Amino acid sequence: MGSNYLERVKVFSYNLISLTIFIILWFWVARWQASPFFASPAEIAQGFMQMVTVGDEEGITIFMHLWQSLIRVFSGFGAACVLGIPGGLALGLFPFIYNRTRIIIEPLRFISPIAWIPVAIVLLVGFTRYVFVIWVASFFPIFITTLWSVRNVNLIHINVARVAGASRWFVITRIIVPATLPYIAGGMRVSLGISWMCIVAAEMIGGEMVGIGRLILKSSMMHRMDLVVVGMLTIGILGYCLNEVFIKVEKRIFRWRAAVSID
Amino acid sequence: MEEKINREKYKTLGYNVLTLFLFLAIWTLAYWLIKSPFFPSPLMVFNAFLELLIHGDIEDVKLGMHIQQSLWRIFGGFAAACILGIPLGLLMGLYGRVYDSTKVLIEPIRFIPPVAWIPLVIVLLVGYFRFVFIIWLGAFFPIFIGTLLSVRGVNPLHIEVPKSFGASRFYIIRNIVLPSVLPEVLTSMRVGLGIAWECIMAAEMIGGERVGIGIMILKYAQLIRMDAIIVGIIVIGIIGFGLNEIFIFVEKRIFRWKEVVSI
Repeated sequence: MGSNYLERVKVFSYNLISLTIFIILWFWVARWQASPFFASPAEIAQGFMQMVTVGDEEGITIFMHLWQSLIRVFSGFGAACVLGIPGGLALGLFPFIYNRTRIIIEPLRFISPIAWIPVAIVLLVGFTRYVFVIWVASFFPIFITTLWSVRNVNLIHINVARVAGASRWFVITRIIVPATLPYIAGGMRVSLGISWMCIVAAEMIGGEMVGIGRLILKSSMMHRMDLVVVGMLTIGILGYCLNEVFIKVEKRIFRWRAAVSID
Repeated sequence: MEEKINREKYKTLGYNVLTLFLFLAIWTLAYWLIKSPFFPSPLMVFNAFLELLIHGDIEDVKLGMHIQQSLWRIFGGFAAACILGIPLGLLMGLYGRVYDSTKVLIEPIRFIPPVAWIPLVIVLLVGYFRFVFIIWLGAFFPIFIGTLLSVRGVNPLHIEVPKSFGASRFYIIRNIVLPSVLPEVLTSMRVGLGIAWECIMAAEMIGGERVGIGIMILKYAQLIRMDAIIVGIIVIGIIGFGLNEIFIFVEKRIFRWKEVVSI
């Protein structure tokens, strides 16, 4: 226990050191470049303070931007879970459906969410546009992971239960669902990361003033590179935090499984 | 046995074609029901496809040119991601401490979406490098993280046994770590290629050029020509699907000794 704690402190301080080195390098490059479009860490800190206290040109603080964006992301992510998990389970249990509709499902998977934006603008309105674009991005990871985890359930476990006279329903609820749950959680985590990364794409739709992606787009039009970087860092750090929290929860729930992968 | 597998294959193919027709029929039905100028029928989309293929778009750039240009950009970014991601992943997998100590830098950057980099890329880079950079950002992390995890996942038994026989570190890396991670590296390359292809829209939003499949969609989005937009979307989906299938085929060929190749 003691050495474990020591190890943690060590890793933490190493991280702190590499962060400091990175910021110093950044200072250096900014000074060397001396370009008005290459913001130094100090300018970014200033920009961040401005975003926290005053807000952007329209007086919207970073918290309001984040709040709006989080609502959009979680709605899209929620829709993806609601459709993707049961869909994946169903198509995993009846693989012939997937095999026969592959020609439609698979190409859809490779269309980037941004490509859907023109369609979303024309066919949908308001909040549903954001939800749709984020849903498009986050649906497939959940769906495909669930589908594959069902297919990869150990056949012995299913057959043993069957031999002992278990009904189909029993096999599904007591064997397949528990066995696939860790994978589904992993798929959900990947999806959440992807849907958060989609926020800029979704907020390109325009028409609204609030949202962290909007902040980046607005600031880039005014060549306020410091605010652009503030937005980027906020997205990166929040995405990282969401992922870490999810990993913690996963480890807690699935303590019986040794390894939880980071990707 | 062979014959049975073949028959099964044809059956699946037949069902896939059937599903495709069913999908087109439902689409046509929806077109009749909605009757909006912004909701084209499959036939209109097909006409737009022929027009784009033979006459080219509003600036007389043919669809083939768009695709060729986009593929060229993708391969630039994808190659850069492989060249940097695989050695770096191997290195950080072998020296886990390096990754643990720089996690605070690497992980948040992973969650910054490629689109968010566009404003910075526009001011800091020029020409072809802009596209390569954006696509590199998308493809780098799956390849890097996939390689890193695969090195960490090498069976310790396979490493300990030669070690106890006095094998050198170099021997172990060359003869044990590399061969056992290769299949997973290839899988993460495939995932990276898929994401690189999805990033094409984001990359081509940079603008300044007139050729590229993403640029074609953006051009027609401004004209609200939904039929041409959908042609672009479908072309992106089918090419992504095709690239993935080719990659899976190659993987299966090379790693015939490995039973399962996951999607």
